[in-house]
Amino acid sequence: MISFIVKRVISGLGLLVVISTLAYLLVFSSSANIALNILGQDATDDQILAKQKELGLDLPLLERYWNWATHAVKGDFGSSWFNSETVVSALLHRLPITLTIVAFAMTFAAILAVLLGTLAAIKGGWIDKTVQVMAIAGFAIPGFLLAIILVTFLAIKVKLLPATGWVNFTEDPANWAKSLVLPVVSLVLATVASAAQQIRSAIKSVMERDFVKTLTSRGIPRREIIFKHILRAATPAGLTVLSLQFVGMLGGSVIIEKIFALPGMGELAVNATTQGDTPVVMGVVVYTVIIVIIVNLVVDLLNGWINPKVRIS
Amino acid sequence: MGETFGNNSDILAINPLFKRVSVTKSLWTFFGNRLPNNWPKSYSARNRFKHPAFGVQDPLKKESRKEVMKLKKRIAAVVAVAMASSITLVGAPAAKAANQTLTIGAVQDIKSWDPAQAHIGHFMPYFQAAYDSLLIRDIKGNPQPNIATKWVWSSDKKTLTLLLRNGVKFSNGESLDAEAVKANLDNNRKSTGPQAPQLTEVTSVDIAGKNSVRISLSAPNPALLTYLSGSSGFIAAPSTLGTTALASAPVGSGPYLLNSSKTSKGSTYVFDANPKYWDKTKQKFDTVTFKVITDTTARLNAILSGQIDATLLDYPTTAPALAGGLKLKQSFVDWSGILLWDRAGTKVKALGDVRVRQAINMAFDRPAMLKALLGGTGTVTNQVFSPTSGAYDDALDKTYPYDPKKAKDLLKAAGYANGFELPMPNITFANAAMAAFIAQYLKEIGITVKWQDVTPANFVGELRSAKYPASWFQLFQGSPWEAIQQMVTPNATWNVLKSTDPDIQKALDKIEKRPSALNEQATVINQLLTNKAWFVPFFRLPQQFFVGKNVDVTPQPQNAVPYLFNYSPAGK
Repeated sequence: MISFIVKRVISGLGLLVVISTLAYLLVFSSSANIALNILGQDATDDQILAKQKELGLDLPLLERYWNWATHAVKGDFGSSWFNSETVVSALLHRLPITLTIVAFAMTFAAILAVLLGTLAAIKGGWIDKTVQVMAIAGFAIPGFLLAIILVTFLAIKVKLLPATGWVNFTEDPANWAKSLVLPVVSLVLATVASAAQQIRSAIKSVMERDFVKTLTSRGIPRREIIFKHILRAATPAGLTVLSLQFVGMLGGSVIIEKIFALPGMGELAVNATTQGDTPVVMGVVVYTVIIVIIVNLVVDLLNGWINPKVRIS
Repeated sequence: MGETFGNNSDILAINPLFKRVSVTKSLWTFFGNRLPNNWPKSYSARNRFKHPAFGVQDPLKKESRKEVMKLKKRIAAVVAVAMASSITLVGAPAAKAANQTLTIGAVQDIKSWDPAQAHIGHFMPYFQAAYDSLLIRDIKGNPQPNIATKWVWSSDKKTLTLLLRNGVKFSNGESLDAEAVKANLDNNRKSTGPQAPQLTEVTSVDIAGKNSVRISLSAPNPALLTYLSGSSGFIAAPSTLGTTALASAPVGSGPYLLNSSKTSKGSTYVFDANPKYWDKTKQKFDTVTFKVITDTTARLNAILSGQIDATLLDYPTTAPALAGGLKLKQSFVDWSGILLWDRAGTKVKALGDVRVRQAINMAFDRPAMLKALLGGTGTVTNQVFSPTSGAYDDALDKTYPYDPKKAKDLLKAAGYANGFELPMPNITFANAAMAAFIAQYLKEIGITVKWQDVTPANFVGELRSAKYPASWFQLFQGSPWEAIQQMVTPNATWNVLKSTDPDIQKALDKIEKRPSALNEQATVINQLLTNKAWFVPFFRLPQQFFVGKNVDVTPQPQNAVPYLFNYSPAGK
């Protein structure tokens, strides 16, 4: 098991290096006028040159990357070029907001998807058809459209929930809960639709395997076959689907945070990318890759724990 | 009034026990307010405390009953005193309405609280909450006394002496005196902040007395007073200048103090009225909150749902805002059009001929473009100066009516009957409709636009790179001198290819010799720019600013959003 974990961590670190390097090159290619963007359109040439020197933009690409990488390894991602806040501080303020929304959305989506997918696969009939229609509807209705509809009715018309903003749990738990509802619901729909459909397929394919027929012919109760054998065998596929959905949700939260004006990672990433704020963009990339690696590692470990064959492979 | 979440952090800081109370109270607020009307009366607060389960005193115990009676009498006495006090307070002329709050939906987050990084437009209300400025602009945009109570120009207009208000203190206890003003102006002009170019002509700032400073200039600058009443005039406590702490928390002498415990960087900034502030007329609210909402639709939703009191929207969100009962406070700040930089014809020879530039001006059906692009919200124009600038000439807006035939004739007369190619930069994806109109109208008179796509982050840099003979752009319509320095003088930022013209230079020279002739000569420059077709202005763009029912506001000329002092509670 330890060698399994070590292998996964090493491959994760390799992925981190490759992605961060590519991201740095991409950001570099669009940062030609960054000093002007920071200083404003009326800045003089002398001011622009001074700013470029201050930020190290006059250095060659390799030297700039090396400076960034050597500091990043120590956990120092520098400060935002636009507001001088340290990148770590900006991320630590914003990451909990995004993770809270995604974690809640993921939890609800996982529960609903497993329930619906299992029911559809086992019961069949109208439940199966309903889940499939829901899956199509879930794919067809984008999360941002659902978000706008929800805001219009629940925030503006009924005034039941806040249209925008974030409240810290420690300040006001009730308003914290209220500020979570709409973003979470907006994220959940598409995920449930997609995951339920895939979990249904995974369970159905397990149900068609020979060992299920053998267990049935031996007179083992159907309930026991489902819960002890079929669901266990279908779990790795389900976990993989949910881990992919989690990563998708992190991306989807960018739009949702914009619509609900939530000061999360998504909004930070969009603003930093639009402005060309390299330190912040790189901080967001590294943190996001680390989260994805951790999620994949956890899923791999769970799969290995559930299914010994995974550990051997 | 705008809902401000999370305003009990002070209580939590005092006693963690309140956390539990707060949770219960909040949950009650959430669910309790939604109880059905037919909820059993036995659950009402009054009846609940009569139930034995809540420990009512045994009626047989007389001693206990006496104690209760005594307690009731005491409560009655306290209530009577409190009522009497409140009547007295209501009758007092200085009484203030209970807890007036203002919540502004800010388009941009503040980058730094260092006054050297202050900027006009969306950043002004933030800085006006925390800092005093040397001068202050009135509702017409004219500089008026503030921290500087008087000012005197030298006869050559190269020295400005400011007399400062006595007794003003910063929030950290330091005095706002001549030393503080000198330290701030030196800090501003030597910084790389956005307003540093405004002070490039300042050669020195000298202390002329405890409450007097002398600003020396290399050349007269008729806009200096305007600058000192804007983003160049904010004054921070001198001991904090140059420190990193100033970037994240202001230390000023302004009408409001940042409430750090309720502030969440990048999201919400809460200011409480400064109890020691010297001018109470600038404190119309007890609390001012800035909620940073960068997305326009999110700002619309926030103001319609009552979370914020005021915000800037745009043309597509105007109809739902009006339908939702919001009040529109429109003003005109920017103009949109084409900047024809290559007036010497070095990159595209044709642009060196004034007839070609005039032909381009006649190629556009501005009212049709305004209707299609902005639903008619805006004003078509042929001049680059604003109606509030003092250089505006109403007649100039009729110089170039849509006349493609005359445009073709002018091109033919200039020797370009078959047209020519015009390369221009275009923001990828972001400007498709405007780009399509420009290309289509120019095509009609034989000019082919060659678009060269650039990313939004690089657009301004590309424009300033002097690669292009012309470009579509949107520019601020400031005071006459600001506008002249922005796009007319040979070194102006938006005179990218350094064009000169002898007639325009004559007018500039007259201003330098006699700064009081600024408006008169700016009007002459405006006429020359229009007739010589240096630009192709399309429209003056409206700022669609909205307020809810609890707040009134007056737009500030030449600023993207109203100044903080222009807000007041509705009906006051």
